[in-house]
Amino acid sequence: MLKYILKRTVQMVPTVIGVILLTFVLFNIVPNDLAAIALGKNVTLEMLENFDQQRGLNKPLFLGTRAKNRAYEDHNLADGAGRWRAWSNAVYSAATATLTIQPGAAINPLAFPLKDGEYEWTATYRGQGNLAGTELDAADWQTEKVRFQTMGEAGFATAGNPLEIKALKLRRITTNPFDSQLFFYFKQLMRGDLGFSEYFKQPVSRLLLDGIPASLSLTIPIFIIGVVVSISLSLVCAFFRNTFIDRFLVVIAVALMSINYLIYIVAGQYLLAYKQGLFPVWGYESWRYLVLPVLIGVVSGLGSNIRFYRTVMLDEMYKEYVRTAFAKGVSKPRVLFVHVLKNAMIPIITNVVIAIPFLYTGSLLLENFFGIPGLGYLGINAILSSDIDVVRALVLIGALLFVVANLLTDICYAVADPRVKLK
Amino acid sequence: MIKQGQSLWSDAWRRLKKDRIAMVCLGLVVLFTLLAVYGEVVYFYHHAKDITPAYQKINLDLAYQAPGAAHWMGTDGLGRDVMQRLVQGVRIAYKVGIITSLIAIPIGVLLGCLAGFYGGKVDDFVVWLYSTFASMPGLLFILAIAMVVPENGLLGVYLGIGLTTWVGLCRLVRGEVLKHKEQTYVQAAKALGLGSGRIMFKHILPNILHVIIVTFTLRFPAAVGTEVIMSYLGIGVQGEPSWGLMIDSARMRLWQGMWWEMTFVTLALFLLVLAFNLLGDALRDALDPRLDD
Amino acid sequence: MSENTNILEVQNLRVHFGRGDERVKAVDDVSFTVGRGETVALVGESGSGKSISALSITKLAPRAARYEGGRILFNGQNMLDLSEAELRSVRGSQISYIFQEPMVSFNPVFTIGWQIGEAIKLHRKGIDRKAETKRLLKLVHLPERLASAYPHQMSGGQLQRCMIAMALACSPELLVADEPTTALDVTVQREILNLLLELSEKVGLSILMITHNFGIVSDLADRVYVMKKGRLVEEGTTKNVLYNPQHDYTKQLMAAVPRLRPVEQNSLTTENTENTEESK
Repeated sequence: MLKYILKRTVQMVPTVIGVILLTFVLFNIVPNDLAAIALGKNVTLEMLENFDQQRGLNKPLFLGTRAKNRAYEDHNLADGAGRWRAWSNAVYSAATATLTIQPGAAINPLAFPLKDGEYEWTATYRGQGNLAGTELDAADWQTEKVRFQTMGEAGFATAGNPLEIKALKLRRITTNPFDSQLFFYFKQLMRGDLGFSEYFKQPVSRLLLDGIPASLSLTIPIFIIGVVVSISLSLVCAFFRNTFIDRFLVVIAVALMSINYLIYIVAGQYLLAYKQGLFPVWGYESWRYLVLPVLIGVVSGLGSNIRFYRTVMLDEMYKEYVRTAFAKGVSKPRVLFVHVLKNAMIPIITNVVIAIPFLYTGSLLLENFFGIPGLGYLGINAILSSDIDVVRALVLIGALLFVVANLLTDICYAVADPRVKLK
Repeated sequence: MIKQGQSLWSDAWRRLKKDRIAMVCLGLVVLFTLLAVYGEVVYFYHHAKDITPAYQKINLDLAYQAPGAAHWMGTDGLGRDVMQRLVQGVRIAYKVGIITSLIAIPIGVLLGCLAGFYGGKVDDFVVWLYSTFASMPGLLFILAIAMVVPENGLLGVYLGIGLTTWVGLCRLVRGEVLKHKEQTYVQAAKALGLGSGRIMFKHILPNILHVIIVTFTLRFPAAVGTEVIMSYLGIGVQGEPSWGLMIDSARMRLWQGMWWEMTFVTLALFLLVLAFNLLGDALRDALDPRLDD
Repeated sequence: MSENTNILEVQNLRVHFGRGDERVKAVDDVSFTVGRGETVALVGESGSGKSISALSITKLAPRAARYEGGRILFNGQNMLDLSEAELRSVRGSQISYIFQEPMVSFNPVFTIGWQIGEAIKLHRKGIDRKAETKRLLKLVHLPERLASAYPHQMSGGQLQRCMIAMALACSPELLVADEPTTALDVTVQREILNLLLELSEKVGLSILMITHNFGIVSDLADRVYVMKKGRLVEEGTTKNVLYNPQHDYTKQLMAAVPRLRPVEQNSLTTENTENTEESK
């Protein structure tokens, strides 16, 4: 058995890597400007840069020695003058898409002071001038890379002649080509660092730990009560198979499944809390506040669970061994509750264990609507306020839990079904 | 091959016709589809002519009217006719259902076919890929996608739902292809020297079409439901009367005693989802080639 | 009153499925008897109604079946009159069944010992189940240790023996065997049939054998009934029916059996020990 567990654990690894990569793709590759999404519109470039710096977002994606910097963001002069409009002695020509720095000018185009390190300008220029301590002199268009340290001059200076610029790029030089976003992310995860919440100004791991108890207090009751009720009702369906009771329950199940989760919450809050005054509407003061959300959580899940468990039971009931049992003189209840149930439990266990990860994400909606300060509440809040690190952490942890739950399911399967070969 | 396919469809139709509930659902689906088309026409007309459509016109004098002769389903807080907005909601729901399927179905079918047919490393890769996607926590993942996708608005919603729906279909298709691959008609085709691509698309694909149709019918309402939640939360559609938005604005009014907007939107959503769900179930039974009459 | 030597008397049994246009007369006015200690064969092709007839004896036919007429007298009592509870006490204790596919006829998640033990527990209280299970396994020539094995760990032949053991757990008077060897390999078939022969002599068991295999009929059965499409077309002693089939259908059935040599009268008698393995 131990070898089986080990083997399954090893098989988990590619999926774990896949999950990490997928979150990387989603949060590092897909968005154009994550900092802008997270911090919004009214922020300085320096604040954006700090955001990037903290999360390694200014590094190359996978591999490389050049990192971007917001002190001078990539800007295609064909699109316009951009920030260069601020300097009167840098004349922009839309027709040629060039910038002409007038003679006798000293312009530092950096938006904020650079942190220590080695940097590099890549300039396509024509004319004469000085850039970050290096003399530029070319009669015709030329592209040159100019390196400089943060100490000292970083900008342009012209003397007697103008300097035309067609393209300009700033990069920080990193010593380690493997110092990339991907690597940074992996290192973060190894350390257990899940990022920093801009909204709460706290490390994400702390927020998660704080939120777990509340979520569990909601989802564990939903899980347990839900499973018990669903299995019981599906047993009823199987026992009264194809009679009125069975068909009625199936119709109810489909109807329950078709009601949108929102409606359950809205109707529940309105009818039971507000109108009837049976439960408090919002908050997390005592266990009473959990009753309504738990009730809603259970009822909303009943539909699909009953249908699934019922199908499983009925599939079993049509098997040959059931006929043998009847032929032995076993009574119908015993056939159902002893013979069929034990077989049916095998697929049911899968279904049940797989639901465990959802215990953790809490119900995003339930917590949000009922003001329960768990991980679901945290999640919705993070989505609405674009608190990237929190969202990413929740997604990552949720996925990893799912992978672990799969492993547990396999183990349960091996324990419950004597036919599983423990190879 | 084609003859066999035809008799499967007529067989299935025959079985479906016998199921009265399924027929009712089919009727509802047709009705909703017509409403969606009508809604699209109305939208397009007003959009092209740059007029404000009736369902957007704010008229505070008419606000909060209970259902009556002029407005069968009453008016909302800004005096807009609830029924007309409801119809527009159908249109948006259909857009979501169809576009997300247009994303999910090609991906799921293509990957499923490749995995099932070629096996080996290709299969390993596809299984790894969909296992990874399947591990993602549902709604949260969709919301995250909507959050990071560059353009705001419905694109994020479509991608989010589409990129999570393909997984189930891929699994199913892969399973079916694996089953069919071993069957004699494929061996026969191979023996005749037909190329892989041809076998896959002309022979196997028609036989897994029923899986695709059933999946579409069952995922459609799920997509609609998810979008309703998302627009309720304020993500995705702005301005246009998605049912989610209507529920949001109806919620507070409910507590003030104005029941009609919430009731009718709830009913419409429920009926749409129920009809598709039941129809999908019935289709699944009718199209199952193994079920004897 | 003279002692009735028939343990089972089926009289004019009618078992139907469906209604109206879709009515199927699975068993249409069928009558047969099984005498005490006799082995009787019910022969026919698939769809002939032989299985349904056998299952109907204790109302084990599928739920959709309707018992439309006739009587099933077991030891003089009409089974069709009994309540469900009464039927349950007969099933497994006085009338036992063995079925065609032993591999799927056992519950996969319980051990063989548990399942045999259940049969014992249901009808015989106060017995040492473990010891009794061992005795039963010995009776069918299986090692005792198999009691703790699961069905999937055993071969078809072994499982069928277990099924026989389980069926005999409560010393039934009648054993109904529904094609017990059809799903087994040829050599294993022979073993099972020999076992049945041995047991029927040892324990005085009456057997109702459902089969489509005339080889089995000639080896085991005292009398034969031939069924076609729910009706009885021929009956008689094995010798008579096999040598002198009256009905065309019976003739067709027998002619359909592939043989390496043309049929000779002598090759089918049970007395002939040179029983042709090849002709099966």
